[in-house]
Amino acid sequence: MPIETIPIIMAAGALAGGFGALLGLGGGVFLIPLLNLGLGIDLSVASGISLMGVMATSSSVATGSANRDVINLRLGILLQIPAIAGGLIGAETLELLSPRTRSTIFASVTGVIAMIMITRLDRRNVILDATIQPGALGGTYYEEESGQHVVYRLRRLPAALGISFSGGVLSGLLGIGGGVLQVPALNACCGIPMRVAAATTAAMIGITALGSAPIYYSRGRIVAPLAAAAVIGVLLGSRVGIWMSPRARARWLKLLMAAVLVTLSITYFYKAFTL
Amino acid sequence: MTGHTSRLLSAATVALFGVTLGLGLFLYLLAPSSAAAAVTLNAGILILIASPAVRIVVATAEEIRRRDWSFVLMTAVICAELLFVVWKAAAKG
Repeated sequence: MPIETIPIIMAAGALAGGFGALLGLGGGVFLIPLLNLGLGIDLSVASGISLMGVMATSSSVATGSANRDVINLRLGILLQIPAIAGGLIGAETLELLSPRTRSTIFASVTGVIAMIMITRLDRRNVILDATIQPGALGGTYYEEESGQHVVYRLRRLPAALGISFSGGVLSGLLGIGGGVLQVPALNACCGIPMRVAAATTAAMIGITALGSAPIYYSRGRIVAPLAAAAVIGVLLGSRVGIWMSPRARARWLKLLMAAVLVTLSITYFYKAFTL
Repeated sequence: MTGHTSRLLSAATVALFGVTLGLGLFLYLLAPSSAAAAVTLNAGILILIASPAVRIVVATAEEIRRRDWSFVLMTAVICAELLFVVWKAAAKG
């Protein structure tokens, strides 16, 4: 790998980290196509680099204070139980699937989520009556858009657990954080407001990645210099994303997310058919 | 606030792997095949991989202090899962 690619990978990491922190994704969904399609880096190497970027974004988000009140730690931790198991299974299954199958799975999943997202653009999950009990896994936070404290409750816990498990499997299979699945799915199916889903997932995906990172590392799938370049880029980029997060509107976040998902879906279907 | 401690510790681990990886990358750019670069980069990667685990351990310690047992149980399950993953990785490495 020529040394000139190091700054390019750093820039790609910064871009991915910025959008990742903003959307509650690890940024892997941006980083993998940038590395794979943009720089011609092999998909398995790109996955390893991306997984490191995801962990860096997550740790970086956890140190910030901007989203502190919207991170639902209890829910986040609970959802990590199936997510880590999924991550391990994903990392173990990786070798059994052809790149074509992986691309097709990813393209289908992102396509479906994009559609769910678009149909629910104006649905709001928050309850404006602040006297309602949020329950053990719900929460309350101050929402700037309505200028008051809002309450939300978790609906369909089994669905939330299933979503997290699937997010973990995707994380292990593709080297992404799984946030690309978790954030919109928690929002659409389980009554979690977008901003809470994004912030909670962003803080937790590092733990999801722990389900597969040791396996990636022990099998030599992490190319250290490239991963280091991406991580440094991600750390810088995610600071910008964290700063922008409380200033971004929910509708705008959903639209951006849907646009990203559609792009990804098309890209990976294209890859699957041309492999 | 106990949340303050965990945030400080998270910030310290981020700084640690950030600096280690930065240094490793610098050494790599100077001499791509040097042992110093390889060792530093690998140390940075390992600290990075360990950083979420550190957060879990700190969160668990805080909840034990608050006697929030359901939370402690959840983090205990997670720790068990992670130990299993590391064991799997070591066994197949």
